[in-house]
Amino acid sequence: MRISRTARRRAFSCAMATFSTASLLLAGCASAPQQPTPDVVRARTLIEQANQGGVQQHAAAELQLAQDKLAAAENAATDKKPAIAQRLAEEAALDAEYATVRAQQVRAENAAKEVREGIETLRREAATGGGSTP
Amino acid sequence: MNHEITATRVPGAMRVRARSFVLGTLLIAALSGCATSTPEQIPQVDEARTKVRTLEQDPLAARVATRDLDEARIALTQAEEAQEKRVPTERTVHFAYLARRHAEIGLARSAEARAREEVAQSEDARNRILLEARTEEAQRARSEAAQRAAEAEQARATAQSAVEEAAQLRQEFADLQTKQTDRGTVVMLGGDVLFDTGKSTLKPGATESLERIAAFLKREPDVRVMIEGHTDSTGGDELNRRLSEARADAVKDALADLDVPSQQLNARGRGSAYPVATNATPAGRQQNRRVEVLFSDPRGNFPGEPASAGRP
Repeated sequence: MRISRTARRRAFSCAMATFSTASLLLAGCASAPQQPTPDVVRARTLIEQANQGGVQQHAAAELQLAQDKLAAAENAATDKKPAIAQRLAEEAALDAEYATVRAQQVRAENAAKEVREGIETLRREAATGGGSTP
Repeated sequence: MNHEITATRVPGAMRVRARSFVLGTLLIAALSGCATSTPEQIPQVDEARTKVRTLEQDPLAARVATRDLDEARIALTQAEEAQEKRVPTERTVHFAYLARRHAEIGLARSAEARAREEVAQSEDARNRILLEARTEEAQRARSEAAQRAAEAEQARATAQSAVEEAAQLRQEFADLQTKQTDRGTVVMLGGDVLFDTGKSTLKPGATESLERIAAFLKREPDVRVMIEGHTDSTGGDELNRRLSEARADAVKDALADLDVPSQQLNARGRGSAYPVATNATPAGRQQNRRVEVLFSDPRGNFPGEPASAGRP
């Protein structure tokens, strides 16, 4: 059976339309990985540096807070809530900085406590005329 | 058709409706608080402000946390402005959060600096303590050495004075027979001067020697004497022992009669066991018949003997 020219043309346009729509739909759903915002990048970098710097040892809770907030920021970005995502990312970056400085504080205070106790021991030994000096 | 538009007066009913409408709007506006007084207070902003003030008052903040303080102040100002302009709460809270975090970062930096300073000062304290301990040890060693030196000097001086005392005694009794023994200075009182043979009573000629000894002992109340009687080998041991003892006692009693206190006097017999000459000749036997008076040191001790030897 011969297909008329008009019928062929119509069939072609129909196919094209379907294809375009489908690709548009696919494009919309697959939502190609969004470019992370500068705030998210900054937060990620600071958290990674904190992890490598052993911040977890002395400020685990504070670092966890930063990580949770970054995850929330990324979720908000995925949910197309850019304003919320940006605020959360900014806060996450600051939380990471806080965790880092807090870990330094705890380390320094631990060292001070050790030295203080060492001095006390030394004083006691010196008072009792204790033996040889190191 | 005549559609003339003439200026018509608003009918009465419509005028009343219009007035109520305006009044109603004003009422609603008033109720909704648009004609407002103070901005609503958001607690996070107050908390942020408190933290920032705390950081401002931290003594170390000016040195280590100026950037944090600046950032905190900027964020706090943004929060306060947002609060005043009554923007959506989440934005105000966001600025307040940033301000609080910046302040907390500054406070943590301050605390870290304080702890580091303490460590540095503790190092100084530790070094000071070690130095003091070493100095004390050195001083103790020095004073111990000085003490040992002093004791050595004292021993030397004691030995020196012993030599001098012996010389003094010798001089004191120069015309009497004295000898230095390892027991100290001994004044020999020849038996014939003191006693008739076989007797233990003193001859009158013995007085002068004894008076000299008595005078010395009264002058030196801490000096004691050990009076030892000796015989020659004539006769038996038992006889000689008793005889020598009696002779020593006679000298002791004579000194006591010359008012020498008894605690300075000790006497014992030695029999014939310690001859100073041969017993084969009369001359030798005469020398062996003697009383020896041993003098203690000025503290009453007889060298080589425990402090309370002899019977008083």
